[in-house]
Amino acid sequence: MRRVLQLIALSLFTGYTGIAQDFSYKIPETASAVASIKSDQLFQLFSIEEFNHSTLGQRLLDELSKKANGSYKSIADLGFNLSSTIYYYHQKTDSISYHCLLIPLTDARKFETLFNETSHASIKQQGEIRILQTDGNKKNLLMWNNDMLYVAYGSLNTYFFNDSLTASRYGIRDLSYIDNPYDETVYDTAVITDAAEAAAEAATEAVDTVETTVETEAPMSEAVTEEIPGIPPVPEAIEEIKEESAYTRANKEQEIIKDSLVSAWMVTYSLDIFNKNNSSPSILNNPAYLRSLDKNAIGSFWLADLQRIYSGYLPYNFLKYGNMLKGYGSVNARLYMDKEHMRITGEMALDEDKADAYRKIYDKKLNKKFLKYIKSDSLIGFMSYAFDTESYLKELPKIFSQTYGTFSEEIDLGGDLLSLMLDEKAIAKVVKGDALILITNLTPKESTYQTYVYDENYERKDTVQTKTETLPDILCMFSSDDTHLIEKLLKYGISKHKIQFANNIYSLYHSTKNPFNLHILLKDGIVFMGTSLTDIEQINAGTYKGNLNKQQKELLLKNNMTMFFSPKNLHDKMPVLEMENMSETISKLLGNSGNVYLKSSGIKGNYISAELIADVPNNQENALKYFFSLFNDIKAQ
Amino acid sequence: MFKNRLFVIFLLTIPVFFTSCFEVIEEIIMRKDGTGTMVLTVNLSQSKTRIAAIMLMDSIHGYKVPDKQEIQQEIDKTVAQLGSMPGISNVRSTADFTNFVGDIRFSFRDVSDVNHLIKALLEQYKVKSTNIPTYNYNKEDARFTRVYSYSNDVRTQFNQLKDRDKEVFSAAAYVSILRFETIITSYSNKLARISKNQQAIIQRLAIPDLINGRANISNQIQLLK
Repeated sequence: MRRVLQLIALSLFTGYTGIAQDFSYKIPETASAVASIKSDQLFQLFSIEEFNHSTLGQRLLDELSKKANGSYKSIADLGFNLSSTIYYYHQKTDSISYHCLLIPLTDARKFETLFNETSHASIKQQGEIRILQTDGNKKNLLMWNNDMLYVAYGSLNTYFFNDSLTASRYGIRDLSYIDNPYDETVYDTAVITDAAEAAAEAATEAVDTVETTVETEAPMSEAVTEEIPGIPPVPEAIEEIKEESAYTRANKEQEIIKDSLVSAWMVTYSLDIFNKNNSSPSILNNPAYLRSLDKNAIGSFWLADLQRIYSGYLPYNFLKYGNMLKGYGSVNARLYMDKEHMRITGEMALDEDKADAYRKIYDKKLNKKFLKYIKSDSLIGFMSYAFDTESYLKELPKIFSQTYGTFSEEIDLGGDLLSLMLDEKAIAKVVKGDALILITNLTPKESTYQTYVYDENYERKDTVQTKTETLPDILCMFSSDDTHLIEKLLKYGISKHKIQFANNIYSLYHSTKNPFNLHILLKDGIVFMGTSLTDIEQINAGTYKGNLNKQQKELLLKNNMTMFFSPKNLHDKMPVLEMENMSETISKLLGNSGNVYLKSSGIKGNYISAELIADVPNNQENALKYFFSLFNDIKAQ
Repeated sequence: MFKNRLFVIFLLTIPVFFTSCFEVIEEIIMRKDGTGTMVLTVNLSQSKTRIAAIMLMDSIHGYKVPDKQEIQQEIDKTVAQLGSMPGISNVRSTADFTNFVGDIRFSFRDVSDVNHLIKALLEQYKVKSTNIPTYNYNKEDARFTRVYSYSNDVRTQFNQLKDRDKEVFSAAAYVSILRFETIITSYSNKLARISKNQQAIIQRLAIPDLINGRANISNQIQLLK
């Protein structure tokens, strides 16, 4: 698997100007996940030349030169075509799951120089196509011609052989019901060995040149993973394991049969993919997949219906719980990088009912009055959300009744009862459903702690000392049209001596349960909660001065959910003394990072979407180079 | 509930800024006849803001955070268990959840009972430690010894921890106090200090030094016969 990862890394950073090849038509229509990355776009941001001379590039080339006994000066020498798109996909059948990579090549001969001699000897040729099965258990496969490299990893589905009919067809027995299978009759042994050989033959036929699959040493086992030993040939294996228990012996043989089956299936499957042409049905027929693509994105990701995937992994007897993700459709995401930003956008499809429910819940905007309490200049971060409480409470039972399909009647009833008991409108008056939480500052605070002093005879005495701790200052606010209930609660706190009240401000002083002092103010239909008394006092007096910038204003008002983090403002306030040896690493990292935003604007069409944006600092050329430099900063520590 | 959770998310930012400080104090009071008392104190007071924040969370760094009751239960269990060990009596404990200070004290018939006790406890908590100190008191010679030999296992095990977990120990201190009824005439460990009345000996060191083998807590103390 390490080799496969190396290949991915390699292909990501290999560039070559050639004819654009796009192999997406090779991806089966029933694939459950597809990811792609466009190397040409990557190399526009970070040229091949630059990459060759970068630390990472140098290291990669050095290692490759060592491994393949050659000398690589540029990643362009490796034979990969990188003005093209690399695809990964996953497909699950009833018997086997495949993870596959499609990597365009420009020069297969250059690519082949990457293999050592042992591996070379194991390459099988079938017409134009060359095949190399790797790993001791043959679950890895490389297949290529002059244009494309295909990498596949297959694993057997555990439940496939649970069906006794299927199992017997392939010579697999349910060993748990046999106490001592090998003590029964010689006949059984013969059957199993036959089956193993039969499976092996099947594999052989598929590859054509292989004599018996199980007999061949894993061709690339040395190069791939040193730890995994090749499977011993069947006859010897039986000799060798005589002393082991009959069960273990039987089990091993069954595993050999299964491995041979996987191996044979994979070859057949991969050849099919390889020979597939662009007129046969493929993932390109799936509109949800097509939606995930954008020509400006560097990378994209698509995942089939969540419900379909979820139920596909459930064994039959659990099917009654199979509606857990009903109503949630496919998920897609895209990665963009340019001079100013790195952006990830994501979407999830919803069915009509769910989309309708979420549309109502998201039909809410943040209270505009919140905005005058934001100091963009010095703000470390914030988080906001705006949901419609009334709709939320009303829609919640519906959302649940879909999920628990088999119990829908009970859930329905429960939902009705809940509605009967709750006065959604009244609750929505108390908590309207929008909130803004700001991390405004870091301030040093004195705190006491207990320790000991020792007298001249080392008798210890308790003593209290003080130290300075820097704590974040938080200011939260949420809208409320009806603060009676909240006031009642606070007054109850006063009567229990947990809360103090002065000048309109309720104060809760720190205790074990609460490491902060918390000050609460009810004003203008807003409930303010803050750790800084000064802030709350200023808000009360109307002297609090905010300075919200345009970008953040737009972010807050246009979205239902947002998050913002300014590493630079945090960096400026960091208590260097308290952090000791950690400070340098964190300080450097924060100082060199741009702002980060997360936002979700609710439902568009039947899709719910979210976006993550990281600003590229001015001193960096583009997003990719920026991330490389961050990576180097972390590494350098 | 939702808001409470948000609050906790912000609390998470706190631990980033502090290196944790705590101290472990081990005090042994030896009587002439070989019996004595031991008091073990763990004081996390310097990190109380951090701990209070951590205790509001369900788990941190993949470890489950116990609540007050669970901690108390664990202490009670240990107290009951110690009470049933041979030679151990008068087991008592205190736990202060405001300052996060806890101690456990007990009497022993012979200091070798303490050796058994430590071994049993370590086994119970599945701590594989080869370098636990062993105590010995020779009544005839009036000599008290603590034998401690450093083993690389500790460092190896410690190095297997993740950096953020190692960091927990970076500012931790260990204090050992030994008290006697008679005057100390000599002692072997030069890192230890003797009290003015010459009846007590103290050694204070950083826990990382103990882990890395830079400090030795062995000592041979000769008392006036």
